[in-house]
Amino acid sequence: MHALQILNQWVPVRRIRLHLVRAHAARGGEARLHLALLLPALGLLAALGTRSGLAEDLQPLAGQGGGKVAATRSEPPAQVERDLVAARAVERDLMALLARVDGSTATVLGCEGRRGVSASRITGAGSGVIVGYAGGTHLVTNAHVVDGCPRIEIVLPSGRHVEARVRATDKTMDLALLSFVNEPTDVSPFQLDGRGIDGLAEGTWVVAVGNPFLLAGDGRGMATLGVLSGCRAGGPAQSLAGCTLQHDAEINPGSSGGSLWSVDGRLLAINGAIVTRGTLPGTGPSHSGASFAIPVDRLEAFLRAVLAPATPPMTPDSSTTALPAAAAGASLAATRTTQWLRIVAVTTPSAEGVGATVLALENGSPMATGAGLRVGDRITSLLTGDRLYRIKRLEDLEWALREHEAGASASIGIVRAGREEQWTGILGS
Amino acid sequence: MRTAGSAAVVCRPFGVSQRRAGFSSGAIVHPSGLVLSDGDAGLVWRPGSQRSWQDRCEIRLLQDGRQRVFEARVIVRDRDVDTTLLRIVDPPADLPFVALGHSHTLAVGDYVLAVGTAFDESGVAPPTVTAGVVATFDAAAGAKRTSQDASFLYMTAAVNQGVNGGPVVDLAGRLVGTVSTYLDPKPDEPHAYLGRVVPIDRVREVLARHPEASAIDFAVPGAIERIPEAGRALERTVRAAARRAWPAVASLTVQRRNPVRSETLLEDRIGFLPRFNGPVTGFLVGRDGLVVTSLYNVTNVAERVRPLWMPPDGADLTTGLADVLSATVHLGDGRSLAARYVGHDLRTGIALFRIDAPSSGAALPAGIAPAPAQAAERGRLVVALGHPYGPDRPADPLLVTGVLGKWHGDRAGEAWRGQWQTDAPGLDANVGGPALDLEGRLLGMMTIWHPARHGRGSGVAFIVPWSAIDAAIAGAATGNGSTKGILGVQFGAGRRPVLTHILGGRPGAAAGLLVGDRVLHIDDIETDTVADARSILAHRYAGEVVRLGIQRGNQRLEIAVTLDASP
Repeated sequence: MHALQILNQWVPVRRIRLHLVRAHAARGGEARLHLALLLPALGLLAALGTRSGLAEDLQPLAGQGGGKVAATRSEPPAQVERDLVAARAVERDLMALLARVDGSTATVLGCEGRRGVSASRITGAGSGVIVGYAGGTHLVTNAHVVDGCPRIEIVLPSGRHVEARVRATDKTMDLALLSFVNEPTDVSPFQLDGRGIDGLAEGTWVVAVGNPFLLAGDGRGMATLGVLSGCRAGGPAQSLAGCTLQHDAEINPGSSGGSLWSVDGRLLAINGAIVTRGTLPGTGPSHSGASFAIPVDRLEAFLRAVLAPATPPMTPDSSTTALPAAAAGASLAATRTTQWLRIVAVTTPSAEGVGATVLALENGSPMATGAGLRVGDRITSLLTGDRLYRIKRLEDLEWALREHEAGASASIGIVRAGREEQWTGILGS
Repeated sequence: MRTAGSAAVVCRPFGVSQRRAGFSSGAIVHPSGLVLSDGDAGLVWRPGSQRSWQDRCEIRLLQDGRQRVFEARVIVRDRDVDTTLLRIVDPPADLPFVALGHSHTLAVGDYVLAVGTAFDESGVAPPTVTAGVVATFDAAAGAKRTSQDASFLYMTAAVNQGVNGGPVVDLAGRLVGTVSTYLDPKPDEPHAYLGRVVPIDRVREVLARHPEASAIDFAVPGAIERIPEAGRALERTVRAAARRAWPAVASLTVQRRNPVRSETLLEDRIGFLPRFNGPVTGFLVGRDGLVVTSLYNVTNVAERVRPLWMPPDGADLTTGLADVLSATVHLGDGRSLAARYVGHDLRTGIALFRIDAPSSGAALPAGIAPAPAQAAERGRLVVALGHPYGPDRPADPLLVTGVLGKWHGDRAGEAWRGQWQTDAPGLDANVGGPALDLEGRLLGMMTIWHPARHGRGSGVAFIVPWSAIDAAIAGAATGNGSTKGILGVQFGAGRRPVLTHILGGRPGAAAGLLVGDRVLHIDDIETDTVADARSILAHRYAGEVVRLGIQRGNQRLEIAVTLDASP
């Protein structure tokens, strides 16, 4: 058992539950997925002002603690030695972890002319993770890092500069898949294995690796240590499906697209955003307590949709708990909506018309019953209750479904083989 | 297993619309339905930003994925101590709870977890946890501070919006405090960027004075969690390391003509970075009374916050040095000694003071034992000590921890070349102080370079290695510290770094650079733009050799130049 993992047994607060989501993608080529919001880093007002002084004198803190380091009784030398051995074990775990994962981290330099900065986010440059999936080596980062850049310059952990191309982006989940022009051999890609992170406890130690503020030019990442804070489904991550991981390892602008690791070397998530306390005048955004990352389950779903859409999801090896059956097969266009339709769809390429084209139907999809929807149908309208929504892009469908409850009946207007049809079903839960 | 997270709750005023309802986190602290929160539990916002506090509250508990809502009444509210105790009306039998511990046995370096519901005003989201260590405590009342001060403790665990009132637990899973607030930087605030916590023993005192609350027995049999011994060992090791180095840690009251200020320019707005104006931290190096601190502590930082991909300005790090008159050095043994400013070194960013020879009394403390070179490796833990209290509290360190996250070698073109980057928070209270390894040996000096761009306490701090400081001290102490290196060239107005003027008699001319040469790289760092080239040269110092990759016509050359000092 790793020494850092022993610390993990300290106050396990809750187990994080994830909803496994899968991004949708057009097959092949360079896919652009026009989904809802990019993942912003948020500026929040400093809500907690300094409290006022007290009205009465208070008794001083008593006892041998009280911060008086110089006055505390020192431990006997043998105890000090034993303690040091245990503390060094924690260090060694951390060092071993970093040695293992260094070969998987990279810096993404983006493309000239596309670099921009908004109030709290940097586009065009950041960090990336080199992963192995479906027999190939790929680079993964946030969509907002490569937004608008078809060709990207990457700095490998060896310091070598190489070129990569954007293969697919998922803007709702803020993920981007890049393929190397020439697959590099001087990297150690992390092999995705389907284990995901379901069941990890809050308070678990994690390590973030990235290139905050692009301080490093040598392709090797900066490591910061923190704990998993929780799973955010509402609040700042409202636009995202399922769970966004919150942790307190410091990441900053430039760390986007970087990796989050468990102490035993598993890739847990891709770092994406921070909350910045109401910025002081004249300052740029920087970490102030909350970091947000996209769980690896979603990354794997994204890669599967892009690279191997016909294959079933990977199952973890027998030594770990199996993914819940519903999660294993679930496939979500984005947000809660997909739980109801259970389809995989994509904004139709403009040459083929306007709407959202169905790529796949999941088991249990209410739209698979009866005449139902079929792969290839182009959804152009949605009628629920007394409201008709015109569907020009996938986001329109998502937004339309957000406002409705499971159990509502919906009529979907589609175009199939040039003919307009209408199908009715019940939004499932 | 009873755990802090399962017992964390949200407190809101009962029957008030979300728009007007204040929001606090809290914890159930007794199975009979007692809830502990902060002084703002039941806060109601009235028109005109007026606030009132309601005694009838609703408690929201997330249990097994579903939310349970209870009505509760305030038993005790003390807004000065930032504490509220509530009792749930008709509590069910299966309430989770977190047992109360004691805070008077806490010491700096102890691990703590802060639990609360962050960023979610509706109170629907599950609670989150952040981790850190106890960094410092407030002074006891009566120790040269006004009676307005409370005794709070301060931790490095992040405090996010909405977590106020939430439980702070120790390694044993016991509640040792409640989250009070996050401290913004102010001229008189040494604890900026730390989280303020109400110690549970303060809460116990308040409850003991209240008739209904004093009768409650918070001890619950079987409530103690198993303590991970590795965690306790790490706590003790961190404290032992601090104890070993503390005699050499100094708190400097710097006498200046004008106080330090930090000015930042972001696009077209000028801002003044709030900074702590109190004593700064340094450390003795065992050499003729020399005290090392960071230039950040004694100079006026003028920073232009530029877009991320543009290198930072090579700002003048010596602005305001002329304002420094002298300093008083306060040591852990209680002595306060006069000192003079003697010099600085640009490359390492150190400022040096020398203690005037004491007329009598004990010798000065020896310097901190340096760590061997191989002790500094990526992944090692560091302990950084600060002393922002001056003569008032000679025995109280401000302690933070972190990891050595990255080594910036020669490929770094900036001020942090040849330094470690660490996620130990770099604060006004500990910059200039020592960074130690787990055995209390000196790794180097804590510093920050661009507080407006990188933030403070944000995970971007640096450790200047002791070996570099050691090499620079002799020169700096005699006023011959490293100075900006001069190449003696001018770049054109275009984007690419093309030389348009070569100053006669300066190093560039002597090395054979010609007008029209385009600089492709400096020391193997690519220079696409003039800004790239300038920012690299801004951190090269007199006497250093730089290798320039030159494009001259069709030729590619590499020319080595030894930089001059400015005249």
